[in-house]
Amino acid sequence: MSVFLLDSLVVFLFIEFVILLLNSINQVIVLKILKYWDFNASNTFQYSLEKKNYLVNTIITFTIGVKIILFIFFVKSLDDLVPLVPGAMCATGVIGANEYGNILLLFKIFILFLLGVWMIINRLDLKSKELKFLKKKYYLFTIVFIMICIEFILELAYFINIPLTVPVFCCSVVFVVENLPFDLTTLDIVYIFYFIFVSILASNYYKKISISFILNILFLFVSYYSVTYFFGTYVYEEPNHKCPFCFLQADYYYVGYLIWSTLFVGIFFGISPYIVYSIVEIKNKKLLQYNSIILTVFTVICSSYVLFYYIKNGVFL
Amino acid sequence: MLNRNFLNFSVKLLLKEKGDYLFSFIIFSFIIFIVTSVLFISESIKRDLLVSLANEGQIIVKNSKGGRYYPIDENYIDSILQVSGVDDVIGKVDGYYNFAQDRRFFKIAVDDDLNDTSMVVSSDVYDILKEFKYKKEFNFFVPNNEITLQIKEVIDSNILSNNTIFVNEDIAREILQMDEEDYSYVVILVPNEDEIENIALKIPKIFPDALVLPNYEIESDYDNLFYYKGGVFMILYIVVLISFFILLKNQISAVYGTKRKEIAILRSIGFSIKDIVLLKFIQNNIVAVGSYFFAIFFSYIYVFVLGAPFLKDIFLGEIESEIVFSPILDIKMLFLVFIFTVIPYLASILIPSWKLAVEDVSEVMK
Amino acid sequence: MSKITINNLYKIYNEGKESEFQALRGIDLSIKDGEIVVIKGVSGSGKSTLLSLIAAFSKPSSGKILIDGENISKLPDIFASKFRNEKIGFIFQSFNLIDGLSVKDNVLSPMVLTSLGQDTINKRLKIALNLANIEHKENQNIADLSGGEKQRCAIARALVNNPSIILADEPTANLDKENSLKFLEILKKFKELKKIVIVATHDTIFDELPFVDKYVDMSDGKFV
Ligand SMILES: Nc1ncnc2c1ncn2[C@@H]1O[C@H](COP(=O)(O)OP(=O)(O)O)[C@@H](O)[C@H]1O
Ligand SMILES: [Mg+2]
Repeated sequence: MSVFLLDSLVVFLFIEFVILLLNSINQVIVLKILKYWDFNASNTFQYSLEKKNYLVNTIITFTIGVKIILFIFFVKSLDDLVPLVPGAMCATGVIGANEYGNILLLFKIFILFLLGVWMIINRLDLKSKELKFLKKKYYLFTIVFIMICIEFILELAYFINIPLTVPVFCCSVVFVVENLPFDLTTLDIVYIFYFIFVSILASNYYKKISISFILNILFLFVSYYSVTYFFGTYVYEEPNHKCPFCFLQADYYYVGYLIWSTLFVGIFFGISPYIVYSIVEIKNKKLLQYNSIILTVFTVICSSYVLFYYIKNGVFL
Repeated sequence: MLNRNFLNFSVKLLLKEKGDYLFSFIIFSFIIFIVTSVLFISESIKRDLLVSLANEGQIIVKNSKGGRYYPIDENYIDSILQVSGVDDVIGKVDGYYNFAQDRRFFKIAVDDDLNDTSMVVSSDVYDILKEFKYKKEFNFFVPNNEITLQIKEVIDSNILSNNTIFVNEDIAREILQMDEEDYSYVVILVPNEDEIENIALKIPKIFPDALVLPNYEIESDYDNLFYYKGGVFMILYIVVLISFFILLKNQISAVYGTKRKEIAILRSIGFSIKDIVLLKFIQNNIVAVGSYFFAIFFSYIYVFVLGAPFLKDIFLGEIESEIVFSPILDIKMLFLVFIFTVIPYLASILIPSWKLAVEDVSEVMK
Repeated sequence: MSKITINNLYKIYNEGKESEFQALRGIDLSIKDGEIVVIKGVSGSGKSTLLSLIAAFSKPSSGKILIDGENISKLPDIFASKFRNEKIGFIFQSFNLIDGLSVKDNVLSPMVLTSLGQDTINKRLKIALNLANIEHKENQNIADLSGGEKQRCAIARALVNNPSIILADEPTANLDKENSLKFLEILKKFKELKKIVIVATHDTIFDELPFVDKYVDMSDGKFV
């Protein structure tokens, strides 16, 4: 018995491989463009590079769409592995089953972030009549491509090393309060959470992209801890159930997908303006509005679980 | 860019050229049809097994002697009841009757709603009985005795009820020649999930011969079985898919070769390379997603209405050909099929579409 | 300032290969708003090549084409296409309509790239069909049209986005005498609409027309 015979894994790895293949073709063209691109030349070779530019854009745009779908599929596939991995009750056990799992997950999120930044720069590039940012966007893509290769290796390493006999730890063991950073209590974290949230709104209102950038990164970490150790317990309505994965399941109406996606997408709009600015020196302040709106949705969803619990039961957990 | 006018126009051009896409539509539908049908069948079987498992207790205990199954007697039940956390212990009777005339075994199962003179049979059993002229009643031959039972009802045979005769417990004991205080196996009801594992570990300490099967183990056995079969099938199917996509790419390239003039015309009135790629992407999306729903619809009918002729034989062997599959529509499985087929389809048309889009616009001048 | 300014324009086909061919050799031309220009020359003299560069179908080997002050031959494809869509109406010798679509769909095809509402689109359609004198065939399939009707359909398509420049490459080469004369009538209408029109032709029917502002003769890729 091997996890590689799990049909969702077969499909997942097959599609990842197709994407890797497409992007390898892409990367060859990208290297050629990086080497020979000269916007001012009027020879056929330069014009053919310009045409290839559209192929590369198409493939990358397609890749972004597929990667988002595959990310959701990956998380769902972890649930498929739960009954096969001894001791695992939810995706926590599966993702933590070996040292590659959590790195892989972070890698995936990071690649999606970078592809999002790429997308923004690509739009700016296509809007300029001289294709000003073409080289920059392809240097960025080259980094993403290397990461996609590493990601694929990590995926193989992760799935090969999933133990099918030795029991793994589950969320009740992995997420205990002693794991909070800097000796903070859960309540401290929650105060910090709301404090940063309000600061982000203020910073976005005054369109300070660098401050918003820093605050958003802080907020990402604080939110991770707040959701796992505080808000999650209200979703489960159990003070000791601390897990960032369990609420992705049907029992909780898949609310986890909503919580995590609003957080990640919101944070993306908060940090990308600064990153884009540092690459192409264009301030894209409109994105900060999205940042405010989506993070507000996120905060409202999380808070409402606490509120409704209090209304229903008259006490906090 | 993408707006309603553009979408309408893409559809108009697609409808005009539907002949060009017919080939890929049919083959692609067929490919999705096969994979969906296989998954429908295996999901349906798995679901039936799991549902029946959930209706049983949390732990099943069988007895063995010298490595063979052996009946369990009443004393076992009393002792297991003493274990803390156990809510109830139920003895079960089942086994096989040797139908010597046709050299086959029928499964005997208990249905306590029946009286001493009647039985319920699954449709496949009924067909066999009819061949031997047992249309209303049937005689079981047991040593020194003959038991005659009326056929009260014929039920559909699904994966669990197939090849089965249901009788009440007393009759079952007679047919299977079991003593009054013997059982084939017992099921243990454990209300608290967390205690199942503990109890399962305690029982062999009381009865060293006991074979203890907690429900989660049986469940993962089923899972293993189906993952294994499903996975091997999927791997083999990748080969089919890859050949199809190479074929598709060539076919689309050939068709697009004849469309160069038309694309040059569109380019001359202001379509950019990006617009053409988008246009072709929309059209192929319609074809691929269309095939997908078309195939799923027919595969649902094929498996759950028509009972999956041919494929069933491959899955279950011809003996069990009477089985019906309980309908099931699992979103996750459909998502899996979508990713498995539609995404590589779209991936394989990207490069031909681009090649078409960057054709020289001056083509229109010739 | 001129609307179109062409500066020392060269087009070399198959550059660097044995079959290298200089189709345009140092063209200079400037055209003001509302002018009608007829380029005459024998077949192979480079007229079509010149028009295709002005419409940004292909890029010159050297030289500049400024339209409204912008060098259109350096534009990336997205901008070149937008320029073509908004500012250029092209009438081809072989009509270049899309088979299997109706007159209406053909005429509207440049408009699918805009996000205009249905009302505006219908209004523009009516105007264009009317100008080209083809409104009675609106719902016919292209395949059922005569040569003259096909051309009028192509003209309606060229007009539908209300472009400021109309290019016509051998517009009468596939028409009989009667339809050719009709085309001259339409050309006069263009003049009234104050459009820039550049006609490339070797048809003598265009000789000595009173409403043509400029005649240029072309030979071996040069104006003479
Ligand atoms: N794509 C091409 N490749 C090579 N030569 C070409 C190409 N297009 C045109 N030519 C050559 O350029 C010359 C000018 O062609 P063209 O502009 O079509 O002339 P005209 O329209 O005046 O007849 C001709 O000799 C033709 O053979
Ligand atoms: Mg010509």
